[in-house]
Amino acid sequence: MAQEALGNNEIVIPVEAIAETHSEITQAEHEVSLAAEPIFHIGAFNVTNSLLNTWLVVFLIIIFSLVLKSKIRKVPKVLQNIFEMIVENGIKLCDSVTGSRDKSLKIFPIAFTLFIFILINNWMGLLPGIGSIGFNEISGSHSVFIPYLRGGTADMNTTLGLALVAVFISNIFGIIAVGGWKYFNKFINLRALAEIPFKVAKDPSVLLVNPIKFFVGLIELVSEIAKVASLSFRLFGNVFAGEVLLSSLAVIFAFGLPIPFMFLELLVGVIQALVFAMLTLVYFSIAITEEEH
Amino acid sequence: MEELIKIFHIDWKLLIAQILNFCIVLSVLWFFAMKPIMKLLKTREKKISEGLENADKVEQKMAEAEQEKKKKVVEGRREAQIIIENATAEAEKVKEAKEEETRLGVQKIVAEARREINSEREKMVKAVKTELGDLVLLALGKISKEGIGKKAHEKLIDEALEEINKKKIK
Repeated sequence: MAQEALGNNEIVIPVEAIAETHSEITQAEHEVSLAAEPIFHIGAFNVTNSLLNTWLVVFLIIIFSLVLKSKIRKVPKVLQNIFEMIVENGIKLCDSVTGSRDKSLKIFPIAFTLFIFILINNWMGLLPGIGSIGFNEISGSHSVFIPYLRGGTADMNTTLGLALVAVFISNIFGIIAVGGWKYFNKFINLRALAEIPFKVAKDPSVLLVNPIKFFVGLIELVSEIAKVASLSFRLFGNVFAGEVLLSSLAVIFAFGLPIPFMFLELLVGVIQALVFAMLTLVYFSIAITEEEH
Repeated sequence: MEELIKIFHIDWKLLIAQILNFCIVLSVLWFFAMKPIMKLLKTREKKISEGLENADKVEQKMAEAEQEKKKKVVEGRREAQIIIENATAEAEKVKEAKEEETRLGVQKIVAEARREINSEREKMVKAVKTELGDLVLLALGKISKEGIGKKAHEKLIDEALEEINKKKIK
């Protein structure tokens, strides 16, 4: 019962189990669409299944934090111990990227939160029931299966939001560390242009070098946008591909076959969270170092 | 761009909602988990390093005290030795002085006694002599009354005196 993809943005996985006798209307397509599906509306605001799952993650993290806060003692118990270990090693990892403890302590909260938030979101998408419990929405001649919950990072809005936050914050840190005017010149290098008439007598090569510097600055500007794109698409692509893979395998044979891939996806979840956080760290340390001359 | 937004269903409201979610998570994690934990880690690190430093100090002090003790003990022993030696010497001296004194006292007493005995004897001899003389005179008077001549009389006196002298010498 091979189905044609309904649109170029939807990957359709046919569900054989649905009875063929009720041909058109009752057969539900178990499709994983690129976009998160809206579940209900609050006014003009579409609450999608990904957003619902993200809220769940936020709720879980708040509960965890409150429990941890209430259990903080001078002599640590299990939960505090684990968290302390993670924090300590996280800061060490930050040190290896930024090269100094002071810088690490500044960016660590953001990088760590990114890591935890993305990690929990990735793993929440793998839980049984998420992506498989839902309802059939009848639209036109066929019904579409819509899950109540969907991995938060399997939605472009989430990953794009996170990438924007990460790049935005790294730029803010850059402005604070380097200074507004200097930071501005990193992208639109007016200083390099302004220098030409003063330095040309002493060193004629500035006539060639400084325009190049100006264009390099413009390329930097483009690279900031590229950073957002690379962060968001990488995360979204990996997580979404994982979900598609798992549901395809479940359709082929639901018992046992997806298990190794489940482990793989767990691994991918950690790796992608780590990559996101580490890249944010790298962007941060690039932003706060002054341009070399 | 338009196409991209349509394909990925990018909705700015959802985007903002997700950014908001992240901000909530960031602040919650920061205020309830990271900040207190990091503070705790810092204070603990400080405390441990302080403790180690203190332990080092205490150890050093203990070693110093031990050395001091040893020194004091040696010193005390030496002092005690000196005191004992002094005391022994003093005692020896006192003993000798006492002995000397006793000997002198005894000698004095002996000499005195001897002198006393001598003078007593002399006195006695004198008394005996005079008494004996008188007695001899008396006896001689009596004898001469009964008829001894003057010559015999004198001869007898001389003999008696000689005999007394002999005895005295003895």
